[in-house]
Amino acid sequence: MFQYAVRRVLISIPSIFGVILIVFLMVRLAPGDPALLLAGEFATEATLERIRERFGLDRPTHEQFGIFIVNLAQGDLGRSTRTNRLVTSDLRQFFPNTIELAAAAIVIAFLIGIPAGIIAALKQNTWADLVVMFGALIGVSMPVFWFGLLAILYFSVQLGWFPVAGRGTWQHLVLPAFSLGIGTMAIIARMTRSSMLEVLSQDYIRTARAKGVMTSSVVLKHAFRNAMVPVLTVGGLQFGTLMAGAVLTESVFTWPGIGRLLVDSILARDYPVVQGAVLLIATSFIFINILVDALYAVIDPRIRYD
Amino acid sequence: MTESVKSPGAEPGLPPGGAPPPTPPGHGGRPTGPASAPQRKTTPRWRKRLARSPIAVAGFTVIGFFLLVVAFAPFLAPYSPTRQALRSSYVPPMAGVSLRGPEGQLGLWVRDVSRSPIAGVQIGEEAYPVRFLVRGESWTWFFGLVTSDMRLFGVDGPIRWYALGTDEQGRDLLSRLIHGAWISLFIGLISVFIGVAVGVPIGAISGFYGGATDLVVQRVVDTMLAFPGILLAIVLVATFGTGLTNVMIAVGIASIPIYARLVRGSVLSAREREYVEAARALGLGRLPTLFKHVLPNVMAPIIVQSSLQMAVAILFAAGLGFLGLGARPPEPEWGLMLARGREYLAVAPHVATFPGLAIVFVVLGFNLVGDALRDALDPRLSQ
Repeated sequence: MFQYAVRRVLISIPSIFGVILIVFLMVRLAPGDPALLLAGEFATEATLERIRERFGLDRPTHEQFGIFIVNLAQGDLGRSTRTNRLVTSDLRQFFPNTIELAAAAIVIAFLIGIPAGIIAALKQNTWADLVVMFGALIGVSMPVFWFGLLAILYFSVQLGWFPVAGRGTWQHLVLPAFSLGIGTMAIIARMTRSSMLEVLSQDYIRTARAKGVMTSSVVLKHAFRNAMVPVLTVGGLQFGTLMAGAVLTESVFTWPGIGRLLVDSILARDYPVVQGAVLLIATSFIFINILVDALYAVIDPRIRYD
Repeated sequence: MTESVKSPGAEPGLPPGGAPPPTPPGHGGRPTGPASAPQRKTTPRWRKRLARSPIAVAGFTVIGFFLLVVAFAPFLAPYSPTRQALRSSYVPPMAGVSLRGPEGQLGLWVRDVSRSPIAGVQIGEEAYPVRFLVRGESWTWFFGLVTSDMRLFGVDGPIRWYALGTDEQGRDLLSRLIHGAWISLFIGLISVFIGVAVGVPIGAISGFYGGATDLVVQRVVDTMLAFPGILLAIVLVATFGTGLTNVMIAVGIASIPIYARLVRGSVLSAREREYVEAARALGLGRLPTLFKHVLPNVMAPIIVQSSLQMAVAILFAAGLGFLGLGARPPEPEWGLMLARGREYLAVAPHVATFPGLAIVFVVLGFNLVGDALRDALDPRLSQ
């Protein structure tokens, strides 16, 4: 498995390189003078000159890319044009909050999605199945930001159960995590249902039933464990997607995460921060997926990578 | 019953594992010659399955309704989507509307409504009936080809009414929703078109030729897929600027790798089959074989994906509009309308509620059709 993980990391090197290239090109392809984009609209001529010097903007593009990579390797992503803070310290401050939100979202998604899917599978073609499946369909069809707004309106403004926005106590986390998790919850419920149905039709389940094993025991001990393998994988791969979904959720709940940092920076044309945030989200997406793939082998011993 | 469309030499059996190349709907290679004449009369099996599916009926009904709204928007909408009435901003839905007239007669009757921060909602004395086919503000449609002042329904009197309330500038929310429908449809259609037009050939060539081409293409696709969900569209919009056109292109480009991956997988399993070998043995070149015989046989997953992709594109575009990275005011784009409603959520919740409902409705329609198509085109995939 270790070997597999190493190989996956090696395979993903071209992707990471591609991500860096795209992030690099963002500033070069955007309309306007790259120096102005990197220094901010109100930069003085002296600052512009310094930026041109630092990023080699008067040199050919491939050399600029070389400089960009060297800077990146040294952990230098430049400074925010709005706050003049180091981009890396901005990222370090906001990124853990996004991880917190995404982790809470995926926990909620599993906690609700799996039981819902199991019920739907056990009560196939009954009203319970119908309700779960229709709910899941609504879940993937709903804009998260809309659900977030309605949740704020109902649970925060009218009932006063949760704070309207921001981050701090666990109450702050409930609504954003739930809103963010809804899509994943729907996917997990659907996946659990179809996976359970498939496992329940297997011969060993029939054998267990024929032996006189109690239904609850068949479902929990025999079927559930085997049905969970694909569900955990699909759910795990959703974690990275949640970080992108957080862009919208964080904006609704003014959650101080990297998604909101990204959107605010785009709107303020703060390109160094935009570059840093995009780079961080994309690379962590790649690494999380590698991790989930490797864990796949841990939960299912039948799978061996060679 | 025989499959009504198939490539020459295609075997009806299933491939041994791998992605299935099911019967393609609308395959250009319609059977010709006397031998295949009876086939033309039979309805393809997938279409029968589709007609029997309640999911498909529900989905197509929703989309049909949506298309009608797009086509007849100015006729259906009571007012222009941009006309402001500042004395009636944030009027709640159905304000001043009653089901009984002044003399107790049944029907929809409305009274004049205004709202100001100091006086609150004020409702006038005189009631006017709502009637079908009322003359109102004149409108032009289809690039000026159609001009009329006829509306499907409206108040028969000198006042305005707001079935779903008004926004911050006193614009009729219902009219804005109706006029915004085409934006969602266009974003979906154009971005799916971009995804198919670029992604399908790329994936097909990558899968069919293999080797170095495949390697290079797949690394590019990998890179694009490294941007999860809406992020690639955000990156493109951040680079090339906001606005409706850029959103369509960005969402379209973001869907290219999905099509490329999907088609590559299907082509990989299809290219090993006998009909490909037969076509090549008959002296057909590689590219013609790919486009004439392989591609039509991998159409089913592309069609399913396109319906689901319409849903995703509409959601993404609304999300970008909501973030302020998409359509710009006063465009009645649903995501943008939702964002405007957010500022006065507690005072006028309807401004954010209805555009969201409209999005859910349309996205649900495309998701239902996508699910139904998948079930019909490839029963092995469904439970």
